[in-house]
Formats: sequence, structure tokens, C-alpha cells
Amino acid sequence: MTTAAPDAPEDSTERASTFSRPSASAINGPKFDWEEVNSAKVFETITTSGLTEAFSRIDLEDSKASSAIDFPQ
Amino acid sequence: MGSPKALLEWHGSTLLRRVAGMVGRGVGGPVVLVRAPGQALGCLPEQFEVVEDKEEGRGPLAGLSAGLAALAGRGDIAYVSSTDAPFLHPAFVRRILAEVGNGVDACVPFVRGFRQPLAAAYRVSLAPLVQSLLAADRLRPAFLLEECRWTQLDDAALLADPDVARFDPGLDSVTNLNEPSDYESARSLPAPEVSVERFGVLRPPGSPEQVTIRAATLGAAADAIGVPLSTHVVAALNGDQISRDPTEPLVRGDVVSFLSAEAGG
Repeated sequence: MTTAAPDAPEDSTERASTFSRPSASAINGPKFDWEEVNSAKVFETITTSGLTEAFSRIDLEDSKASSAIDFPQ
Repeated sequence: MGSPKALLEWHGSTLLRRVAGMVGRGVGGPVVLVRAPGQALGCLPEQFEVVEDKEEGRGPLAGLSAGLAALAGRGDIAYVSSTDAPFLHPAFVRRILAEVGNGVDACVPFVRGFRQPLAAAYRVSLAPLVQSLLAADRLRPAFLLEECRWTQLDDAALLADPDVARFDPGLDSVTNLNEPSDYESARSLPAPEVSVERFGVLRPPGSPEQVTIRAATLGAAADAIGVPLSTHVVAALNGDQISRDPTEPLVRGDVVSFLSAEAGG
């Protein structure tokens, strides 16, 4: 079955609240544990770049199901 | 809104046509295409069914819900693919499907460091559960996995399958396209290598029985060897699937046999 999936919600604020904050190990560790990211475990110190990376990974794995590509005009 | 992935050009066809064809060859059953209401999907063969995602904008689970519901009563397990998987190979589809069975409701590969819920297999009977998750605004595939019995296959487990190892050694089946550069890079790769045979009057005297060419579609393979795909010619894919559709996608390892319709009876 093929799903021509519509755009997933792209609002980063919503995504942050949905996933709480990722753990440091999810950001920096060699192993990526999705379950850990999705849990409520939080660390108080998170770098902005680390946060971006973690959410980028979530996008790829979980909901970056956009049905379109934005080509330069 | 960007360019719809489904209609992106792919070696003379579209991404959607290619992926639908690959899924069809992997599952051996009905193929359902889930689209947004009114979404254009281009010209597609009749064997593909189209259903609409009534909950547009709610992410992959909404599409999954519509697709599984459409398959109710017609199969036990569904392979689910996004439209942007141009290197999907039927061997990969078959391996994922084989993992769902006794006590397992879903198989999601864990490839290239990521879980791949849109290159996965799900029991059709999960449809009500998916619907309940949507009703509760739990829109992510991970929520589904939390509530069903599932397994995952990593790179090593997938490559332990002889067919996957032979035809998709890089596990490119999970490659997807999200940026223009992804598409341009993927599109610039050569078409898959396939073997072509000609029989009867289609085989010029003295020519080899089988030649190796690169072609992404049946039409391209026919052009490459100068055989017109007309009512007088049919092609057999890997010895069984008969087609005359020039958009029929080909994949690495395919053997295409062209024969005269008259000679083939």
C-alpha cells in the first residue's frame, strides 16, 4: 500500500511540547534511543544546536511525511 | 506548497507510479493509494485503487488509517510506503512482510540509524486502533507501536536475506526525498541494470539471447533494444508477470522477456 501522505504539522512549538525535551544522551550519545527522546526525561542544560538536531531526527523518523518538495523558483 | 512528490518525474514516469508498482510486486495483492481530497495522482493503471484521506493534514497515521480500512477483508498484512521511495525493491517489501505473523502486528525496519514507519508492514486489523489514536489526537506512528505487538529489523537482519543482500545491498529501499537536492541526486543516478531477452521474430539473427541494459521502465527497455511495445508484443517480467504497460517500473535484477503476441499465443 502506498500512502500519499499529506503534510505533517510543522509547527516546532507544538512538536516541542509534544515530545517534552530530549535527553542529553539522545542529543550527544552515539546511540539514538527514540523511546528515550519520547519520554518525559529532561535535562536542564540543552544547547540549541543539540535541540535542533534531536528534533531533526524525530522529523526524519516519525513525521516528516510532507507530500511535496519545495524547489527554488 | 511545493511540488507534489507523487508527480515528480522519474525516468519518464512518476515517483508514485514507480513506488506503487514496486509495492504491488512485493505484496502480490491489492494496492491502495491514499491521497488528499482531490489530489492529482496522474495517469495510473486501473489496478491501483485510490482512496481519500478524509483527515487531511493529520500526518501519516491518517493515511495509514484510510489505507488499512480500504483493505479490510482483503488481506491480513499491508506494506506501507511513502511516495518518495524511488529505490524501493520488492525483495525488501517481501522481507518486511514476512516478519508479521504469529504474535506480531507490525514490522518496522530500523535502518541507517532511524526507525522507518513508512517503509513498514502492519496488520490490516490494526485499523480500529489507528482510528482510535487519531480520535485521541495521538498522531505519531510511535504511538501505534506503543499499543501493538511489533518487531524491527535492523540493517544486519535485513541483509541476512539473500534476495535483499543481492538486490538492495545498500538498503536503498528506505531512501526518501525531502529536499530538491535529494531528488536531483537520486534522479541523476543511472537506471537499474536489467536483463532483456527477445524471442521469435523479435530476436535479430545472430544476436545474443540475453543482453544487459539499464532501464527504469518497460518502455525504456523496449526502446533500448528497438522493440516497439505494441499490440503485437508482450513482455514477461521475471517469467510470469505479463505486461504491455510502458510505465511498468523495472528494478535491479529484473529479467524482461519480449515476445511476439502471435507467437506467444
